[in-house]
Amino acid sequence: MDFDAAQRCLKLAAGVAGEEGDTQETDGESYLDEHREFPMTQIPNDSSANVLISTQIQSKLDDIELQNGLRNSVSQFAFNTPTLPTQARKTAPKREKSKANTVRKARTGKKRKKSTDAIKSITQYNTERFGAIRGQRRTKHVMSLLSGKHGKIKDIVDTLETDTRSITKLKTDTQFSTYNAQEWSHILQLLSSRFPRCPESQVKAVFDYVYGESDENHIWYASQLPPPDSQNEESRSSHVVPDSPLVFTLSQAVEECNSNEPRSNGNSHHSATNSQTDPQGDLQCISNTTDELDSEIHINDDMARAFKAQMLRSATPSPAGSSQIPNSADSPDIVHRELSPFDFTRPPRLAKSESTILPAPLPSTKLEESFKSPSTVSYTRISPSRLAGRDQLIDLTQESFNVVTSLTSVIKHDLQVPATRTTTLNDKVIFSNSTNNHLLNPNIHAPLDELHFRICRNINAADVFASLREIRVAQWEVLSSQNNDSEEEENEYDILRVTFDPRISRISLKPPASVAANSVNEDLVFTGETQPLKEIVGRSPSLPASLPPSAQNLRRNLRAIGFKPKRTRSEMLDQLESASQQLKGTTEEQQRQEIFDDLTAVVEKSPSLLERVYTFEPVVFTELKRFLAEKHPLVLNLEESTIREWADRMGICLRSANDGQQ
Amino acid sequence: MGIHRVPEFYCCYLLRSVPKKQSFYIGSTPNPVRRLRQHNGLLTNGSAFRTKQANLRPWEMVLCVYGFTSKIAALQFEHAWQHSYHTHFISDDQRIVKNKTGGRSIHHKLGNIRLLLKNAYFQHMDLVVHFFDQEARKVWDQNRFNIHGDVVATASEPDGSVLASQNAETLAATNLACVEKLFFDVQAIDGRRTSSHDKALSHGRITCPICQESFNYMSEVDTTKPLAAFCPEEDCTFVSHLSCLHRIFLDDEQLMKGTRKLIPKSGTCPLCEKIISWPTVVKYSTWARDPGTTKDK
Repeated sequence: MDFDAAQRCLKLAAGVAGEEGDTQETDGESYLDEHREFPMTQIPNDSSANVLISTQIQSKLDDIELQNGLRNSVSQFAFNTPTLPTQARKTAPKREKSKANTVRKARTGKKRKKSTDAIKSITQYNTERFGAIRGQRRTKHVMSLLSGKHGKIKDIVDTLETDTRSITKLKTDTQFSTYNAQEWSHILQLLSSRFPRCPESQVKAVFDYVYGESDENHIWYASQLPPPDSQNEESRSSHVVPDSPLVFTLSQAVEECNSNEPRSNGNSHHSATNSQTDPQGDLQCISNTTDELDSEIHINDDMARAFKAQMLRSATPSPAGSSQIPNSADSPDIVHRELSPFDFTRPPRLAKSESTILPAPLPSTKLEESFKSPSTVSYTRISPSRLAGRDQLIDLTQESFNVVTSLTSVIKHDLQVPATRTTTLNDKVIFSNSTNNHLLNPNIHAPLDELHFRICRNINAADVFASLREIRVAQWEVLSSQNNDSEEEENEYDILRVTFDPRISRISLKPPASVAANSVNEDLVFTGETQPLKEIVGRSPSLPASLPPSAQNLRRNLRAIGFKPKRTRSEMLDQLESASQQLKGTTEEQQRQEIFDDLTAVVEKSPSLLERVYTFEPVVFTELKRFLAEKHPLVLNLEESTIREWADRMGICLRSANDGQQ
Repeated sequence: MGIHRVPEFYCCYLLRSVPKKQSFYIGSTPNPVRRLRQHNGLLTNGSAFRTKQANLRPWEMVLCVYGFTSKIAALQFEHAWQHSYHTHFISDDQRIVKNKTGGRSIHHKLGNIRLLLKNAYFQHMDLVVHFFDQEARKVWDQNRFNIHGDVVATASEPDGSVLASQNAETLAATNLACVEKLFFDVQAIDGRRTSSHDKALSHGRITCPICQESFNYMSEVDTTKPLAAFCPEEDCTFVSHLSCLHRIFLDDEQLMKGTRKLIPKSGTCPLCEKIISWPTVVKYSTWARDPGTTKDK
C-alpha cells in the first residue's frame, strides 16, 4: 500500500513538475525528448486495458475500433503540428501483433519508455516498479471483479500488452477517452457499492488509471488545448482545468472563509457593491440598491446549483482537489459571497418587496459617523414569532418573562459577553442553510426598545411599516433627512427612530424590562449591526447558549411542576409555555406552590365544597377534579398525583368512588 | 350518600399476640371493644382471619389511634400503617420500613405511627394515640427512630399493672377492660356534649353572634339548617354558624402563620376564649345536624 501511495505521489509530482522537473530517471535523454514524450508515453496500456475491461465495450469491440479510428483521424487532423505526437492517438485494440511477448516488458508508458532508454536490467526495473505493478494488478483485479469475466479480461489484457509493446516502438501515444461520463459514473457507483470504505485517493487512482493522470491527455481537454508549446506553463501549473466548474465542498468553503476573512471581505464586498467604493474598508458594506440585492441573490442561486452539482459528483476525484483550491481572484469572491453572513441576514421579505430598511448603527453616539459613511448597512430581519421562541431568543419553556437580569442592553457598551458565544464552525455550517438565524441571536437577545432606521426614499413606506406590523406601539421620529450628495449614494434617506413602548405591547402583565426584550423578540424587528462579525458576537448578552430542551428534560420539568407531560415534544413545550405565562414563580417548586394556592383559592370560592372540606367529608376525587378543572383550566394539565398531594396538604379527604359508606 | 357525619368513634389499633410477642395485627374499627372480643373469639360472629389461630390467641390491644373524622380517613390510616413501606403518606427520605417483609418489631410499628401523624393530612384531625400497654408506652417514649412531632399520646393506667406476669387470660381481660374504659369514657364525654348542644338548639331560633343571622334547628322547614358550631367546653354556651366560625378560625390562622388553608387546626372560642379544636367542633356540628344513632348509645 505504501508503495502504491508513493508511486502515485511520484506520478503526481512528475505531472506537476512537468517535463523539466523529471530529471531523476532521464539520464540519457535529452531535455527536449523528455519534454515531448512524457505525456504520450504515460498511460497507453493502462487506458487501453480499461477499455477492454469494460463488459460493455467488450461486447462492442468493433464499435470501439471504429470510433477510435475516427478519433485518431480527427485528432491528427486537428493537431497536425510538428510537435503533434503528444496528441496523436493510436488505437490500441486495432493492433494485432505477435502473441509471444513477455508480459513484463509491457509497462506503463512513461516508465517503460525510460526503462528502455536508461535501465538495462529487467529485474532492476521490476524492483523499482514493484509498487506500480502491484497497483496495476490491483486495479486490474478490481476491474475484472466488476466485469465478472476473469478469463476474458485476462485474454484481453494479454493482447493489449502485446499491442502496447508494439506501440512503444512507434513512440506514439494511444490516448483516448475510455469511458464517457455516464459509464464512469456507473463505474463509480459500482465501486462505491462494492468498496464502500474505499478512500478517495484510491478512487482517484482508478480514475487516473482509466483516464490518464493529467487532464491535458484527456481527449476532450486535449482537443481544447492549443499546441502544447504555448500551453506548457499553464498545463503544468495546474491539474485544475480552467473550464471546470468552480465548486467547493461546504467544509472547504468554510475553511477558506475563515482563513481568508479579512482579504475576502473586502474582496467580496467590493465586487458585490457594484464598484461602489468603500472608504472604510472595515465597515462591511453592501450596496443598498435593490438591483444589487437581486443580483446577489442570483449569484447565490448559481452557487447553490453549482454546489448541488458538486455534491452529485462528489465521489468523482475532482481536479480541484482540496489541496488545490485555486487562489485566483474569482473563487474566494464567490465563496465568500455565498458564506457572507449578510446574505443570510438579509430578510427575505424585504428582498422580495424590493424595499430596503437600513438601520443605522444603534449607539446614538455613532449616529453622526454613520451619516458620513453611507456605506454602513445593517439588516432587518423578520422571523415568525413561533420560530423566535424556538430559536432560543427567549424560550418560554426555559424561563419565564421575569428573568431579566441576564439580558444586556445594546445601548450599554460596557457589558461584555463571554467568549463562549463566539461563532464556531458549526454555527457557520448552520448559517449556510440560510434558514437558521443563529447569527442574529446576539442582536435578538438584546432588549432593544429603540431602533434607528434609515429609510430610502424610493421605497414604498408601506412595505417598511408592514414589516413592523406586530408592534403595536411604534413611535416613528424623523431624526434627520439626508440628501446624499456623493455619487455613490443614489438614494435619499431619512433617519428614523422607532420607539417601542413595551408596556403597551402584548404581554403587559410582566415587568417592563423583560417585555421590552420580549417585544423585540416576538415582534420581530431586530437589526443586524453594521460592525464586523466579531463585534456582533461581542454584543451578545451573557445568556448561556441554551440548547433546545430535550423531551426528557421537558418531561422532568413538567413533572417537577406537577404537570402531566404530554406525549409529543411540541405539546410539552406548549404546556411549559402556558405554565410560565400563568405562573410567576421562577423555580419549579415555586410554580408548584403557586398551582396549589390557585387550587386552594378555587375551593375557597365555592361555599358548598368548602363546607364539605372543612367538615372532613370525603370527596370523590373525580368530582373534585372535574370541579377544579371547570374553574381552573390548568388542572387538566396536572398530574393526578399533584392534585392528590395538594388535597393531602389541605386535609381534604379523598375517596375513590361514591359507592362506599362514609 | 346521606349526610356526612363524623363518626362517634373510629380507631386504628395494634394487636399483639400474648403467647407470641412478635406477632402483630393492625386493624381499624368503630367499636374496639366488640372487635377485640371478636379477635379473641369471645364473639363468634366475625373475626379476622389472621387472628384465628389458636396458638396466637389471646390478642392484646397494645394501643389505638382514635379521633378519625371519617371512616375513609381511618381506613387510609390503617392501610398506610399496614403498608408503611410504600404509602405516600410517608415520604421516602423518612421511611423506616423499606420493604414488605421489614418492620416487624414494635419499634417500627410505633415509629410508623409517628411518621403518619406527622403527615399534613392526618395533622388536620385531632388524632390521639392511646396506649393500653405500659411496655408499649415505654417503647413509644423511647422513640428509637427519633421521629419528632407533637403527638397527643395518652395511656390507660390499668389497676393491676403489676399483674403483667400473670397468665394470658387475665392479661387479656385486663386489656379488654382498658379498651372498654377508653371507649366508654370517650362516648360519655360526647354524650354530655351532644345533650347540651341539643338543649341549646331546642331553644329554637338562634342568632349567630358572628354574622348576626339566625337559624332554627327546631323549625320544620328542612332546608334552612346550616351547620351549627358549639364550643366543646363544658360551661361555654357559644353557638354560631359553623361556616362563620370557620372563617374566623381561618383568618386567625392566616394572621398567625401567614398561609391560607382550607381547614383550621384550632381556634379561640369567641366567647370563652379557650382554644378549641376544629375537628371536635366539626364533629359535634355534624352530629347536631344529623342526630342519627347518637341517642341510641
